[in-house]
Amino acid sequence: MTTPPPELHPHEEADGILEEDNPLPDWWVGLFLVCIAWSGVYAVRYHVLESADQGAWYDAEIADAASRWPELSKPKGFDDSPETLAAGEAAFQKNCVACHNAALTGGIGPNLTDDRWIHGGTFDAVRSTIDKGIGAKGMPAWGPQLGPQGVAAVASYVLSKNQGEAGRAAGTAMGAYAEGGASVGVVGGEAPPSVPSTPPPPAPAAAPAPAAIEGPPEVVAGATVYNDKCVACHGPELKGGVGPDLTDKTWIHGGDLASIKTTITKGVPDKGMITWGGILSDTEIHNVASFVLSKGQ
Amino acid sequence: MATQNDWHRNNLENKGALFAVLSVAAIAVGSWVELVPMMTVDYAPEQIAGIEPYTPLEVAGRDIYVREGCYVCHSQWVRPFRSETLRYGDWSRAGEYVYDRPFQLGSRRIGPDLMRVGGKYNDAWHVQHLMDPRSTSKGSIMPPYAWLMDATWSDADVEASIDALSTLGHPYTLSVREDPAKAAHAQADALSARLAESGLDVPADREIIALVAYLQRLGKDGTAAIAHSKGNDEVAP
Amino acid sequence: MSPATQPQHDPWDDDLVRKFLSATVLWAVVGLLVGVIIALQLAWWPANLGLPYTTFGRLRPLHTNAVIFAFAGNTVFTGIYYSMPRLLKTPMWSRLLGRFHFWGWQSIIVAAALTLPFGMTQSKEYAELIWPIDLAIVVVWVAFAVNFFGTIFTRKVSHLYVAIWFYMSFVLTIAVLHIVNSLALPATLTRSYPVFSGMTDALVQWWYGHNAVAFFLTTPFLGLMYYFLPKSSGRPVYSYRLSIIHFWSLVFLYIWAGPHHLLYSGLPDWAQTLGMVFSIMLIAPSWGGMINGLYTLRGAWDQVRTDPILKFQVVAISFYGMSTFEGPMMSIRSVNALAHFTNWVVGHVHAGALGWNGMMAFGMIYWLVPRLWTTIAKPAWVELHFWLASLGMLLYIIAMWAGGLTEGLMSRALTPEGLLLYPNFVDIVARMNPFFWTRVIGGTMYLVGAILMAINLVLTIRASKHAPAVSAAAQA
Ligand code: HEC
Ligand code: HEC
Ligand code: HEC
Ligand code: HEM
Ligand code: HEM
Ligand SMILES: [Ca+2]
Ligand SMILES: [Ca+2]
Ligand SMILES: [Cu+2]
Repeated sequence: MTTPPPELHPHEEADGILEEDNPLPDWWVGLFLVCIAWSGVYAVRYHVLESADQGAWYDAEIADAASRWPELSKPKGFDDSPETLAAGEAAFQKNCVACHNAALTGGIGPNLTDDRWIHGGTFDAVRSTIDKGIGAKGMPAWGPQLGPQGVAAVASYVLSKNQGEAGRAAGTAMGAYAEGGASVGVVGGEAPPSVPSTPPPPAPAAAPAPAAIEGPPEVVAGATVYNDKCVACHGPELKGGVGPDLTDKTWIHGGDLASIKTTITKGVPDKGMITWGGILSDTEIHNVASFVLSKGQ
Repeated sequence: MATQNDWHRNNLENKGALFAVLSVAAIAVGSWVELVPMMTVDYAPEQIAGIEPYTPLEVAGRDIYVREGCYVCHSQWVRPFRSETLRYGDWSRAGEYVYDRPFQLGSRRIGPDLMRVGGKYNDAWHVQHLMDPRSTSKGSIMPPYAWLMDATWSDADVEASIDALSTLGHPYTLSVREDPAKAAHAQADALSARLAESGLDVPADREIIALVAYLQRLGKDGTAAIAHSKGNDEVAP
Repeated sequence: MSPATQPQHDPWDDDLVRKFLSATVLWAVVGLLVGVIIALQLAWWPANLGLPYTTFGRLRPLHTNAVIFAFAGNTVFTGIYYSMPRLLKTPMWSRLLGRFHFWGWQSIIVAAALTLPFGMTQSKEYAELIWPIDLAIVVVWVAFAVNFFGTIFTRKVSHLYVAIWFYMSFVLTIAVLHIVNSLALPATLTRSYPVFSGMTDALVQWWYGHNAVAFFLTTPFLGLMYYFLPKSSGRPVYSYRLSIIHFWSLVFLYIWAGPHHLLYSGLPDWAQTLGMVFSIMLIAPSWGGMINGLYTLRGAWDQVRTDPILKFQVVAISFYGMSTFEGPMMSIRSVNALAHFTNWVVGHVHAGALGWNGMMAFGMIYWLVPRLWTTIAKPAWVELHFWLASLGMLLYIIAMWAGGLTEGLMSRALTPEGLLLYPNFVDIVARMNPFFWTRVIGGTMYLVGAILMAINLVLTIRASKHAPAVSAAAQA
């Protein structure tokens, strides 16, 4: 133990620990005072001079964004200029074909080329559907990703491709969307809800036609599922389209029954192959996989 | 220079009891000023009409959310910044949380905010995602929750929870309070039926049903109530 | 009780200190191991093992509880039970309560380890333990407090040394915080609902959570510094009056800062501002502690170069200074907007936890072991531990800072058109991977250091069984 220097605090014993009593460092006192002063000034400025609150700050940020990106705050109306349509088409091909098909004729999502609109066919209605999505039915909200401008462009593109009643023939949509259910209205949405009673004419050659059905029961059953759900992407002959050819020897994710079932169940989300596990039952998946295998070489 | 006779030495540091009292007093000031107003004052301007308590099934789901520790990865707190409202929807108001016990704001975003995830996806998506997060979200690091498909929620737990929450003042209707399990089963059956439509066979008594019911409720009341109070339903630019 | 009724050979009841020290080392290894496991889970998700009990969501609270209440808690108790009797020149008031405290606290930790993996949790950070355990904590804490104040009231010296002030604020404040934040209505034996809801519940929790940091991880460790640093360096404390000023300002200001965890939430703006400005004002009192530590070593820096114990302590005090500067900066609204929710917070936490609490604990342990048992079995390992811990910690913290900034900036990045540049959250998740792996490496190094310490302790204890009792030289 060092001998106590003279300035040591005269101190009864603390287990042999000694304490000096040096003055507070000036810089430390200064730091303390500056922090206290700064705090006072800050509080007064924030709450008294600016009488700010976080809601007001947020509104100011939004107003600022509106002036910086004016096009974002006033969504464009329908615009069929070539640039807009090209931009809309690019966005559509990138984001929407997985569900609505490159020809807009439907798949997971409904046919967009006909006069039947579940959520209204005016420009504003289509724009709003794309913007906010239909969460419960699997249509994502695209607003956050594309922005108002992008949404307006893609909505313009969609409407530019719409052929009204003539578009029904092209429909390749699956399940609920194929026959035009009761919830489906005609163009404009605001029009009277009388749904055209004529059933859609049989699909013309341009649209994928059902694949041939023969073989053991699970293959036959699988063919039905295939024609309902898969034909949009893999084509009537399983020769591919949006998705790869399923008849050749090349398998990206394995060509035995188990692997194919796994691929179908889990999908390949980042490549556009749907996760069917949530949509088809195990039996249906087994059947459709058997069908796919039966078509392989 | 300090000496043996400093006032604080003789009257404070040499007096254990007084020292203890004063050190409690030192922490009492700040605690009082910050906590007591929030505990007592009725924050009238903060309250929003249209916020309802969670249903019995959603309460069961919320308890599972707490049990699994989802809050360690997911916040339920959208801050008032444009970058957050673009991503997650409107920012979080105090009034939206009044039936949150315990609160689930979170303090870390390893996964995205869930404040307004209700309705963003369909029920089947959530089931698929919880069973295998990477099947719906490539590159996710969220763990799979397979056991939620086997484990069942119990009537007894639902009843105990609704009892306790009613005691704490959550305004449940008489019919819910008398038979919380019945309300829970009705909602669970409906959810199970919706999943069956998508080809998923999930019995209504499974924990995943309760959890999905809770997730689908998140933000529903708040988003509607805020939009209503603002008098429009446009998303911010 | 007087020293006369104590066993003659053990007047200060070092037997209890040995128990607490051994528990500290055991829980250090356990807590750090769980830390490395959860770090791995974020880098490589299959490490969740597909079992409910081992998922990240359940193990993360196990990690925080193990390191804070088991490792840091036992560290503090070791230091208190060693220094109190010596400073007050009387044995602890009751040997029995001391043992009750020891076994009670360890049982609480075991109960935590047996409930958290089963999903039994209240979900409030650092207060996750379910209500029956909360009650047990109250009982054990009261026993500790009675023993603590019993000792103060039967002391043989009149003046309370500064270390005791810090211990006292720890004992009292933790009691207040724990009781208020645990108020809940049980629904079943394992589940309960808090009496406060929504934002009020959040405010109470972060008043608790922040002050758990302040009064569990800071004030008692400052007490340890005031005792063990002058002891290990043989230098007088720099300034008595600085200790008075910084003690009182620290405890007064700390309690206000909780709302810095709720900036930009539904908390009223005025409360957020209080949390922010009191954090800023905390810089000076915190640094008061740091300079009183570092200036104590004036003229002893050559000792630091050679003595690994002093090295642990100097690094600890430096990281204390660093994280108490970083914390106030992160409390500024605009900085918090970036840092909150990101790995930056995790980096800040571990600068404090690994740097300040961990290194302080290791320094104390290595100083105590020869005094409680016998000469350290592997002195060279102490130096090795120091370097493993320091480098591991740097890797961890730097990775989290870089990762946190990346995360914060990516979340808010916009395209020239004013839209989110990374609308898909998984893009941000993917970017974190290299940072997560770096943390796994850094954390493993820190863990290996602690394992060396544990082995060293076991070897020393074994050796002490054969060697004569504590050497006189070590009793300095
Ligand atoms: C993951 C699949 C999926 C993707 C990708 C997708 N949609 Fe959809 N979409 C759907 C589904 C399913 C519906 C039907 C919603 C319903 O039944 O209410 C739908 C409905 C629509 C409708 C409303 C049709 C009507 O009848 O009212 C429009 C318009 C639309 N989508 C446009 C788009 C555009 C544009 C994109 C790309 C930017 C896109 N969709 C991408 C699944 C998708
Ligand atoms: C929305 C378009 C789409 C639909 C509908 C679709 N697929 Fe696919 N599918 C794809 C894409 C794209 C791929 C390629 C994935 C890749 O590149 O990894 C694919 C891949 C596959 C593969 C893996 C091929 C290989 O080489 O490993 C199988 C098997 C398959 N699909 C079967 C089906 C079945 C059965 C259905 C109906 C139940 C179906 N698909 C419906 C788009 C689709
Ligand atoms: C290890 C961290 C972690 C845990 C624990 C965790 N998640 Fe996630 N979660 C993520 C990540 C990362 C994502 C983003 C990628 C994705 O969609 O899977 C995510 C996404 C989600 C989403 C989709 C959000 C959106 O808007 O796209 C939901 C819903 C969700 N998680 C719910 C839960 C629930 C419920 C639990 C607890 C049972 C949970 N998570 C536990 C990390 C986690
Ligand atoms: C080997 C050393 C350690 C490793 C690898 C480690 C790892 C981790 C990980 C991965 C997390 C979760 C972070 C997240 O959710 O993003 C975490 C959180 C935490 N750890 Fe550690 N840890 C270690 C040591 C410690 C020590 C010694 C302490 C305290 C004394 C500590 C206290 C904490 C706290 C308080 C949190 C919660 C942080 C928050 O909620 O923001 N850790 N740790
Ligand atoms: C003056 C001193 C300090 C101040 C003002 C301060 C401030 C802060 C701030 C602003 C946060 C981030 C809150 C958020 O955005 O989520 C934080 C988190 C945290 N700090 Fe500090 N800090 C200080 C010192 C310390 C020290 C010394 C330690 C450790 C021993 C520590 C441990 C923690 C922990 C564990 C968290 C994580 C809390 C959570 O979110 O779970 N802090 N601190
Ligand atoms: Ca946290
Ligand atoms: Ca608790
Ligand atoms: Cu804090």
